[in-house]
Amino acid sequence: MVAAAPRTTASEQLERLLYILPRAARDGGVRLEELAEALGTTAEQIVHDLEEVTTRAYYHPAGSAEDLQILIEGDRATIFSPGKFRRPVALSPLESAALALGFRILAAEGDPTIRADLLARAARLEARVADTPTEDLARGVAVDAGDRGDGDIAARVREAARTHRRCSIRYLKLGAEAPEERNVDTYALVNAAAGWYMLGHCHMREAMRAFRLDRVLDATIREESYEVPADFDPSAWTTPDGRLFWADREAEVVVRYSPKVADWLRERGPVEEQKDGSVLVRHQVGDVRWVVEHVLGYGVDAEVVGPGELLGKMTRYLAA
Amino acid sequence: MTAPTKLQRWLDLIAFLVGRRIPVSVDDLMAGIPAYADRWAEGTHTDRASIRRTFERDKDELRKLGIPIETVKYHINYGTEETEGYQLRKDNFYLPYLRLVGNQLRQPDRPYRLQEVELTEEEAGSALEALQRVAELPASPLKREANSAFRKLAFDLDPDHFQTAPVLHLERPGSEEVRARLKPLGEAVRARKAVRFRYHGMYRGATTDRHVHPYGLFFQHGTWYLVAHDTGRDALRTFRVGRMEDVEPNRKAPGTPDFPVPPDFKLESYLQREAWELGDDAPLTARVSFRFPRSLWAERNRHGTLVEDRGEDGSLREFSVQQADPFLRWVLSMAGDARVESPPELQTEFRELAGQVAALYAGAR
Repeated sequence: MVAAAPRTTASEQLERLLYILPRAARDGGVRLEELAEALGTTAEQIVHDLEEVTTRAYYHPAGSAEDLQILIEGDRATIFSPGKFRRPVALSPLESAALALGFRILAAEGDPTIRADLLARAARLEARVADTPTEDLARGVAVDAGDRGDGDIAARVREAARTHRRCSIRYLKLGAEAPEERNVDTYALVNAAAGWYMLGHCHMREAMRAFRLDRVLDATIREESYEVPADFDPSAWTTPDGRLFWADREAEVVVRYSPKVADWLRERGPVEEQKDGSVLVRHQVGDVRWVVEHVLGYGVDAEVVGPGELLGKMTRYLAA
Repeated sequence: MTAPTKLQRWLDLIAFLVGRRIPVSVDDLMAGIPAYADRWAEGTHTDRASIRRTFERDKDELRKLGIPIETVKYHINYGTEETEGYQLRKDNFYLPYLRLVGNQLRQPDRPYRLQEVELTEEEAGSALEALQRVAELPASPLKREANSAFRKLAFDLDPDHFQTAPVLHLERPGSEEVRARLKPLGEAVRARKAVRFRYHGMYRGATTDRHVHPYGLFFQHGTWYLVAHDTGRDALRTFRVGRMEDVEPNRKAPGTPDFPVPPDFKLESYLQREAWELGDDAPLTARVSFRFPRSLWAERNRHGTLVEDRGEDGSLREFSVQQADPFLRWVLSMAGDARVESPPELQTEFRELAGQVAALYAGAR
């Protein structure tokens, strides 16, 4: 039985083939799995795409593409092409726009002293690798850097993470009386709805910790370098609803939200509907202070229901 | 024999055109491309018109995909007659050779005579990182394009040679639905086509039909927003993409913009706006005192403008407030680390709010 062709569009196939053909035409070919990984598809799809080209031999081929020979042997594809399709095609206008947007993201997140230089470098590069002016296309999309500061602290944290160098930070923990110094080996920079976090090994605690970037008051890149452990898996520290969590330190706090704001909570995750239109949310939190501030931010439209000891704390916070 | 597929027609068209030094006339194209040739040579007038339309569609679709097929006027018959043809220049079609300063090209053989672009390590590394960042954005409207551009640059530049910051974006629930809506919205923004959708407004709790001129999309706090001129309200509005349904761009007159974007519109000015900075009311100036060490956090994140640095006694900062309610709730959220100092009416409102919230916990110890 012949397997059904994978579902795809002609434009997707063309995009893949214009990469597959030059890639398989050099270095004595390429493994199908490698192509599949690069293209975010399956080896079966790659074979199907190539078959579309080889079936051209059954009718009169156009131009000099008749010279194209495709060999699929085992897990490897090899193309013999003395003529066409031996280079990837130039960046399309939208690919150039993606490059322009990416440079703007890096510039917004980067050290402010080199921001203008980075943007100028981006403009030069775009002009050389893309023929189409990208400014109009890229102008329609913008990405917030996710940091309200001047950017120099965030830039140092990023540089330390990029080069695997230990970072000394002056960190203001929520509710702390004073900032404290921490030395952190950053394994990943995590962007959640609340902002950016450094996720990595804290040398003071000798354990994995997450540090919110907006509470990093200063950062210094140290000489010491580190390796990210081979078994480090960031997904072990994240939840499906898009937040960081600490299994060993999480407490449950139950909050009731009024009907006025209930829709906001409904779109963020699971809620328990109440008869009066309000909703209950069971927050799993690593730091109770976080939920205190979160609840107060809703004014009279959110109320801690439990645990009981937190209700008293709420009163004391409000008295302050 | 089965008819060639669209993909095969496209490949043939590209293969036929690429690298030719002189433009190709329509007649030559029709004769040279198998999918067109038979019906062009032997078909009726209707067949020929139909196959010509197929070619026009193929050409337009390939152009949309970024294949730079040019329509060129040129002279024939010793310059006495002007005619029109098509061309796909190698220099425009193929990626130029990318080479790191001081290094050999990753691919030593050069199949074509193309421009060579010399890049510094920094330029090459930041280009690859830039594309990675766009591809990794949750529901990124340019994810596919960023990935394909990355693959092309990686043809000459070895990504393993460059260190990039390890970034992980946490996606919120509903990210797939947002991605599906961002595609037509992104196209409408680029083509300047009007869009209709149903929108669930949170403040009024009502779902309404909207007709807008989309000016731009922005990503903030893990969420995508559309800034658009709402034609029903004749005003600029910001819409959360996750709250839209039935997004329907105007399909009429493709290629013709429905509206101009005002020259003074700056999408970037919508970034980092707080809830209290939105709205059409006249702003009032509020002063807030911050306790130490929250004052350090306020300064680090440039919340408001510093009026007085009181050292270990905190600081006084000034804010421009257009909506009092979200501003007061934000100050209250700091759980005693911040309080409103002026103007008096805002201070009174703040105390009332704190009193109302405290009343919720009146029986607690």
